[in-house]
Amino acid sequence: MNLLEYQGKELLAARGFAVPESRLARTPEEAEAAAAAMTGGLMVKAQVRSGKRGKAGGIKSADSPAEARAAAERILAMQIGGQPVEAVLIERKITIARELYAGITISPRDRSAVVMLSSQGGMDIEEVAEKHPQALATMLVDNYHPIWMHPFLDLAKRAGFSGEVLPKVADAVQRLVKAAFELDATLAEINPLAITVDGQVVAADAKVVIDDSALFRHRELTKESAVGVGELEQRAREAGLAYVPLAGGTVGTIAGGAGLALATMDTISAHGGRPANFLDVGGGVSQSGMATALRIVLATPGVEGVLINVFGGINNCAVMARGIAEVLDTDGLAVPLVVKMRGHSQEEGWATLEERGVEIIKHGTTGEAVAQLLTKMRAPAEGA
Amino acid sequence: MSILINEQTNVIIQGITGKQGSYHAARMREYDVNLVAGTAPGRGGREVEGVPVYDTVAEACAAHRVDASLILVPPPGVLNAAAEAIEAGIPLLVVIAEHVPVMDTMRMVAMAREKGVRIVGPNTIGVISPGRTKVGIMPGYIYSRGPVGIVSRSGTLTHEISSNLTYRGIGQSTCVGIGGDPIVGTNFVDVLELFRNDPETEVVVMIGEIGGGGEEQAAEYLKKGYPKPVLAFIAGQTAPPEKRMGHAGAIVQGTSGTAASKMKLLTEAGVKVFPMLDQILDEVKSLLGGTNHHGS
Repeated sequence: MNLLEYQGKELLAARGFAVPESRLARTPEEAEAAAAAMTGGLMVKAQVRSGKRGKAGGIKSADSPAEARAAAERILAMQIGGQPVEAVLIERKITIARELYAGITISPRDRSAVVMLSSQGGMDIEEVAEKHPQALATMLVDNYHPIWMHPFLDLAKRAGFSGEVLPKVADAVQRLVKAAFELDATLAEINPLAITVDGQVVAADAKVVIDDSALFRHRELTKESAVGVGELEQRAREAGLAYVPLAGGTVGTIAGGAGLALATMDTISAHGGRPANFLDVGGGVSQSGMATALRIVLATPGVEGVLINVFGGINNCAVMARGIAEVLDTDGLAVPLVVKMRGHSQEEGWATLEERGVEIIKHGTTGEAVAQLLTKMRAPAEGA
Repeated sequence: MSILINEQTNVIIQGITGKQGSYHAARMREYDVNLVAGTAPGRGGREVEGVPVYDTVAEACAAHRVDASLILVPPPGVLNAAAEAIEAGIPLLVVIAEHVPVMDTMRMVAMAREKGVRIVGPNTIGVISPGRTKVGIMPGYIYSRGPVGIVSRSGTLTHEISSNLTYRGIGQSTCVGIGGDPIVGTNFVDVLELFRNDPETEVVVMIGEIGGGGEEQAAEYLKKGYPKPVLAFIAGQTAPPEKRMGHAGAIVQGTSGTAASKMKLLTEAGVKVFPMLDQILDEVKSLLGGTNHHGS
């Protein structure tokens, strides 16, 4: 779950991180009222999940409530990175002496987290790594061992900090790491991390991504409604299915397991077809979950045939077959369907489908199943 | 020979009284696995599939020699279950659950490393040495014993390749699902190292996916030389970037982690990389020649 700047800052502030005073506004009127309650120069910042908002004009300065209102009016009418701007953050301007970069993310190869600190902030970390490699210091950290201060002092020294600012930067990065671990953040990035003219270390921005698998222990975050998610995707999400529609495809796919779902898409492309979607039913799918999966795929624009490619491992063939049968019995089917299914309770699953005349690939490969479906799709008279 | 597990491996199931736990206890018994016990806090003293249930792992380990634990508890309970098994001194843990928080995985993997315990998973089907034993949830009868070692990030693709090999008379030495999550306890390199020294394994099939860095690491390792042919398939060649495709690990970010870059690096490391899964079947067949490799 990708958090907006204001959410990330609230969570960091609650963990002792210095952030500029700010208020959220969803309308120009709210922006004006927020600005009236604050003193000094202000920034009006679009709240979108896109790194390009500054270049897109999504950040403006304002010196009065009227200016804040006007800026909010313009920004709230924008689309940035394909997303409508639904809120702006009215934030007190800070006087920055130096911009740094601080971030933490997961390092799969090291099986731990990696912390990155750079004396060059305000640009992409990939750009920093390329243009100023000497200014980027990294270290590994995990949440099993205690998180002491001294590795952070060493990190800050390696990134080129010294003197009075050194312990302040180290402290900020340590807080960021502790916050990331506590929040189940797979990415927490402060760019820029600002050193103000009066020597404060302040988060001028915040990009936080929370692990979806950990949302069960961060219920307060899930109240935010999903932005930029289509209706079918929303239905799939509610049913616990991983679904991604793919523009321009004609072959609907349902698979058990992300790897098999991806390989099924690849195989369709290799046979000259175009996959219309990715859909992984996941583990422990129920009859209704399978039925929902099939209904979602059938409702996906452009679908002219469906391939179901599943195993009874953590799932059960009999249960999945009943889900398919439910759709066939109640909704009918207007496009060709091929089911490749084997594993736990396969005989029962096959029987359920055979009774309904469904074409089953029992021992063939995914390639053979795809070829079969594409043949049926090209000869519609024999299909369905 | 096989890697990680064999006929002598004594296994417990943590979470044996649950729906998945009791179902797979039955499947493991059918497969002649040495399932010696199960655990479920508050259910001690019962039996599941003729196997005694204990409240704690320590009690199970006091009563039996335990070589491996199949952890079949739901994601929020995995960290505590793994810590319990590590503290009890079980040398091999197989964590099946999908959607374990990555921070929990990081913690249990760090703990396991320190205590010298091997974790396979999370988000895996487990490990099977066909015809001998399994510590996992795979349907045993689509696997068969033979000379092909399989290591895969994807559980269902392991079923796919193994069943298709089996139907063509070619068996497997050991199949290891390493799991689809960003952090896993056992990675490609770990398993390749085990297959290197396993005399029964003549050919290694590696199934990767987009995202992460495990295949890249494997390419670095294989580049230094490997005594057996390695065949690979990378799922997600047609996946659009920046979209998370199911597994938490399967996301292409920028240009890193694409199927194309992984395929290129593996090819440069001497691996035979195939754009289509079915091509691996033909290649395995021709590498092994005409003899019957369908084991007992």
